[in-house]
This record gives sequence, C-alpha cells and structure tokens, in this order.
Amino acid sequence: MVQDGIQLEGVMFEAGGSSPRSAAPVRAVTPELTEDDLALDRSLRPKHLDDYLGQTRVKESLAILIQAARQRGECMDHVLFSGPPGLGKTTLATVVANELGANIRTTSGPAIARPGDLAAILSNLDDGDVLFIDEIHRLNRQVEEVLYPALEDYVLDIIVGKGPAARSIRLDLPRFTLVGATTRTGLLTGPLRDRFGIVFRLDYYTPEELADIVKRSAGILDVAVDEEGALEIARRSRGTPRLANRLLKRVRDWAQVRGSGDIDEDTAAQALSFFEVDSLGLDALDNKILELLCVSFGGRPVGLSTLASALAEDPDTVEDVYEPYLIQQGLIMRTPKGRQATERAFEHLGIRHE
Amino acid sequence: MFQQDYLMRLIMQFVRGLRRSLEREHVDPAEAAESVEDAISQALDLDAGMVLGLSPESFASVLSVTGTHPQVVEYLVHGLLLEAHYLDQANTGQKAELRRGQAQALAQAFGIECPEGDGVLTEEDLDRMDRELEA
Repeated sequence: MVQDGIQLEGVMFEAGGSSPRSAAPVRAVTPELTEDDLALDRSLRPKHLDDYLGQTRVKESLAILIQAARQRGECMDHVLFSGPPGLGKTTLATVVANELGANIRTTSGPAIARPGDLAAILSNLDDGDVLFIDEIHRLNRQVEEVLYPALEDYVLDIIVGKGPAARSIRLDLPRFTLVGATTRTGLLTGPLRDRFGIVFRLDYYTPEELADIVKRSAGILDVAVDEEGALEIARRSRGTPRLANRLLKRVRDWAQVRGSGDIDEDTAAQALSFFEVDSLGLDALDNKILELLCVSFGGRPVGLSTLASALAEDPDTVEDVYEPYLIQQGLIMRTPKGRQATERAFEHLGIRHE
Repeated sequence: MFQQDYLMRLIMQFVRGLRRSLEREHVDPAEAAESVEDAISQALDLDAGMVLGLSPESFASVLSVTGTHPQVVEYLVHGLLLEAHYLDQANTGQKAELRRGQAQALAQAFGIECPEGDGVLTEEDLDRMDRELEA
C-alpha cells in the first residue's frame, strides 16, 4: 500500500467530526459541528486516553481493550461509538488510533457514495490502520455489502466478467480496526451492528466533568478561569463538551472586551446572558418556545404545526432541533393533544401557573 | 480465432474511446478524462467502479489474477497515463497520481515498459496503433 493517502476526491477528510452544517443560522447552543468549531476543535482535542476527561466507564474499557490488542500485536476489534452529537465520538476514535500507535483514516457515511469509493479506501489502508467512519448509519446498502467481508475476513469481493460468466474473486486487505460513530443507532442495520465487536454508548457529561474540560481548554487557550467560572460555563453547556468549548470561546471574547480578561462566575454569567444563553443553557429560541406555550397558549397543549407556525419554523426543525433538549430538561412534554409546558417551564420563566 | 476477434474488437473500441477524448481535451479536460475512464471501464472485464479505485498494487494484482490479456494491458497502461494527464489539467491531482501509479504497477506486473515522462498519446500514436491492429 505504497500510495499513502491516495483517495478519491471528496471521500476522505480530516478528523473533526462530520462536515459542518451550514444551511440554517448557527445557534450558539447547537451541539452540531459548526465552522467556528473546526480550528478550535483541533487544538483542544485530547490525543491520549489520559487527557480525555469524562466517560469514565468507556475509557476504562477502552484502556483494557487497547492494551490487550497491543500485547497480542493484533488489531483491536471493530468499535462503534453511539450517542448525541458533540460528546466526543470523533475524539475517541483519534485517541484509539493514537493509543494503538496506528494511523487513522477518516471518512463519513454520506461521503462514501459507491462501493468503489469504499474499495479505494480499504485497499489503501496500511496494516493495523484505524478507519473511522463518522455517521456510519448513513452508509448506503450497497456500500455496506462491501464492508461485511472486509470487517469479518479482511477481504474485498470483486466481480469478474459479466452476465452468466460472472464470478467473484477475493482480494486480501490489510488488517484494520473500524471505528464507527453514529448519532442514530436505531438506523444501523442489524448485520452491520452485529459486526462490531465492541459497542459504546456515550452519555451526556455532568457539570463537574464539563468544568474540568473547560479548565483544560482554558489552559490550552491561555485564558485564566477559576473553578466557579468554569462551572458556570459547564452548567449552561447542555452536557456537551463541544458546546462547553464554544461557550468558553465566547466568554473569553466578552471578558477580553468588557472585562479584565479573566473568567470568574460573574463574568461567565454576564457574558453568557449577553449571548442569550441562560442558566439552563437555553437560547432565545428555546425561551420563545416556552413563552409561547406558557403565555400565548396559556399552558394548554399545542399541536406541533401550530407551534411551528407561531415560531415561523419548520415543524421538523422544531421536533428534531429544539424540542429534545426541552423535553430532556422536563420543561415541555408531549401529550396526545400536543406539546405542553410543565411546571418547571413556568418556574423557569418566573410565571405563576394558574 | 474467436478470442483473437474479441480482443481486436475490444482494443479497437478502446482506441476509439481514446481518440474521442483527444477531441475533448482542449474543450474540457475533465470530460476528456471521463471519456478515457469509460473506455478503460469497457476494456476491463471487471467491476470497473470497484477496481479503478484500488491502490496501484491491488489494481495490478486483480488484473493479473483475472488473466487480463497482456495486449489489452499494454493499451490500458497508455489509457491510464492519458487519463492522468487530463486529470492534471482538470486539477484533480490526487486521482491523477492514482492513475499514474496504477499504470506503473500494471506495467511492472506484466513486464511491460512504461512510457517515459507522462507518456501522453497523440493523434499520430493512435494512427500507429490503428495501423498495427489492422496489420
């Protein structure tokens, strides 16, 4: 495999999560990867397990699996990381490669459009490489079919001849470890899921874990932040490290222009309020949803399309982007009659529920 | 006899494909590259979409294992180099490098001399190929 790095254009890209979504205006609290995150991401990403904060159970298991594979001089089993965006799936893939002392090749499900694209990637791997496929649930079925024998037997089946004379030959591939990442485990086909020897589900981080991440990132960015300041940013970060790092950057900017440059609890709170991220990590649109449900509709259940019209948003966007976090926080609930604000939503807005 | 006829037809079809690409070179090199790739795909009795993405060594191995006729291979080497030349012009350097690597690996695997430099074919080369085939 001498042609190191050769790939079809557009198929491979640098580690950094999925490609940035840029169609809609970017929210400060979106857990999706934005253009803004890319440069920051590279410098802040931990490279080794020891630097990786949080996800203790996953880290412990990975440490054992990696050490065992290294001791045997073999590739590690294929690994699947699942969980909401921004929790560190891409970072963990890079950490696995670094700990194994292997090269990492990064691509994503939608970028591998044809079986030939995957064949190109697989045949250009070196022995022991880590192949990272982000958004693996978006691989198309034909591509998946090529992946099965590659995962199980490290071979690629190629059809020779046409029509009735067609037969298949098997091309040996280097041994590699596939690391898949998905935000939608349910969309993975059974056969693909079964071919992963190890499956890890990443959970949201606690404010304390996020505060540690904020302090580490602040150190790299050379910003002074105290314990309470870090915790204030962490509490508003929706349990997501990507968001914590992004908010840290905003607070740093605010502190530089409006404050002393150092970040304490008061500075963090003022800065984040300025950027319309409140104490629960809700932005202006989240709060508008709560206001509509609590005030305009008087706490009664509201249909999704009515709510979307009132927000001038698409119903799918409301359902997929805004609603999940509000439901997780117990601020709204889904009822057979529609969306309804909970007691906590009224408390959060400081409105008395009649 | 039948096999010889089949080979002749395959190669003539391939040369026609290359000739078409030369006509497109100055208009749109990307389209010219596509035209050569179509010709190569037809000449390969294989799943071209899959095989053309392989690393040079794997590509050469597959063609060796499947018993591709050495005469066809010789033309394929020229075709791959020509496509690489068009791809360079179309600023798709990575793919051009891959095609060049595949041409070299193929030539080496089949003991064929790989053309020097970028080995770009001209109308005259194609005329000569036609004459050789007719002879």
